[in-house]
Amino acid sequence: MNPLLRSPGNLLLAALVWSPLAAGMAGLGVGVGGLSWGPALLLLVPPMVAGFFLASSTFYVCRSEPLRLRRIGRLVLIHGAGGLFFALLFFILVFLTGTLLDLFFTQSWKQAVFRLTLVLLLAGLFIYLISILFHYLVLAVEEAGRSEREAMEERLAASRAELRALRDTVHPHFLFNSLTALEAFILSDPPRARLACLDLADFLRYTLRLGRQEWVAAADEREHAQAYLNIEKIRLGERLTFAWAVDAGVESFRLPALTLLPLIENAIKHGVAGRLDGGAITISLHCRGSGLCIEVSNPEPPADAATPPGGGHGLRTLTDRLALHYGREIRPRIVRSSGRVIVSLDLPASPEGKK
Amino acid sequence: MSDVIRAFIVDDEAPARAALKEELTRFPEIEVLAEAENGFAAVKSVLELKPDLLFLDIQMPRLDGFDVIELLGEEAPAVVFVTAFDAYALRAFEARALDYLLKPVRSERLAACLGKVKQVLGRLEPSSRQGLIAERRDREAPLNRILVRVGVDVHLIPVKEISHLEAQDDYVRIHAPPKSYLKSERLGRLEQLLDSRQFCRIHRSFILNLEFLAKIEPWSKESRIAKLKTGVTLPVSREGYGRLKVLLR
Repeated sequence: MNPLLRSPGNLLLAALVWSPLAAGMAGLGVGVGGLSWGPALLLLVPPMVAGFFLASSTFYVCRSEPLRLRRIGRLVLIHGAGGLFFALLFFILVFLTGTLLDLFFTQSWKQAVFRLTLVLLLAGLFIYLISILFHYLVLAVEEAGRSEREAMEERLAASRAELRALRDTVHPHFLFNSLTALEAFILSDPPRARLACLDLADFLRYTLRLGRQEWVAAADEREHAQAYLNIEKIRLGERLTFAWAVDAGVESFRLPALTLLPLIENAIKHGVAGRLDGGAITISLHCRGSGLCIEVSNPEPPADAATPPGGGHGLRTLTDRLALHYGREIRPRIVRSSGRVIVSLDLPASPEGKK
Repeated sequence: MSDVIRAFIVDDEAPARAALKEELTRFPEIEVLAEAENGFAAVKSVLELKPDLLFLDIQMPRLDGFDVIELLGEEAPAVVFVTAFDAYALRAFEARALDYLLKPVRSERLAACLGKVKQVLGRLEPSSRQGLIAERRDREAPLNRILVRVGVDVHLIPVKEISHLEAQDDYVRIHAPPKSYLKSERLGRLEQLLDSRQFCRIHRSFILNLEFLAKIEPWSKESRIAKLKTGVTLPVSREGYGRLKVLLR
């Protein structure tokens, strides 16, 4: 929308800026045109008012032709033509006003207009330049506001996804079942209780630093996942077995914190905890070019579960978080083959500049 | 009733069972008969051992705590839910549980719970569990499986395998070709719980799975018959035909 029409205040402000210009124009009419002040105002103020509204339409030209250095030729061409056109239009407006005034007052209006020809054309060009400068300024201010708002929205979305990840990771069901197991072992098996306590502490420490450290090494992610698996092993006992396959050299690969855990949680939830006899999960971290390929596989969940799988809330949150770091195309993909579900995630090398 | 309360523990996590069992040793009036690590084993053992009190975990594989109560039906003993997370508190009381314990369980809380159990035990009305699935599932997605117990054996019948359901006195016969099962439930209640886009009440005594419908033929002036892909023929009432037309449009 044209900035003039956005609020009455804008219109008033622009009119205030315009008034001295109109007065100056009339002054030229007196100085160059040889008119006295009354006729000069009568001849030149109406075209200035009309010109004011015409000039405001240059907003649309400015919006469709943003200021870019590489388009300088095109800009000069367009605004040169626009300026000439506007100057001519302004001259015609004054000429028409003069013709009209001829009908009512006996004064040599037209002669004055012709005396003013060069001044009018230059003034028209000047008015055009003033108005495009003004409009480019308005557009630049708006653009700055918009990009600031967008950046803020992006930050907000990021922190929301981080919070969601945090809340999902320290799921009450996991936490309280772990504490129950811990309580059980305190009397019956103190050394085991002690180990579980340490694992839980490691797990929570890592999880709670989320948000402070966005990019971590694959080795840290693996250690965290291992603490989680140790705790789950206590709860699920024989029902859970797991195996790692880790390429040499992937330990230092940088990836967003808490990328691996949701994949493993998902595998345990559907492929182990949901099955009467549990299941075996495998976690592999492979080099793929300069990137990392994570694959987590688990047995198919039972077909007759009360709520069929496919909600995948944890995987959705992970997808949202990855989108903030890499973009939407980097996300976990699910493949089913011979009774197993494999979730794979290909990560490119970290954009170190964004760290 | 004797002074000893015979209890049974169901939880899929061994440490949780051990912790509760350990706590219960402080109460001499409680005798822990046995324990089970999943819903199937729980149903079987409860029917055989007939305990007075069931400590029941909610989140378990394939059959959760609510499913276990539904399957036990009128043979369910007094139930105390034991869970790590209190998202189910309301539902637990709708399922007429006596009490609701949060893991890890405190001795004082367990003592209060057992006080309540002793008070209530013995005057529990056996019919108080009718309509359990309805109360449980009303606000959830349509049923995707029906639980049936034949003696001590539990069957989970996916609804997509059911061709039709037939009212038989106080029971519903569930036809899932080539098998059929009898469940103690009202046909009207199952009609409410099943997906109304998939299942149609074609007659006072029949609900049809549209996937199994082959064709509809006129029978008499007022009625029609539905032929199923399995070769079975079912009566269609005038009202039933009206409902069927809406669904098939």
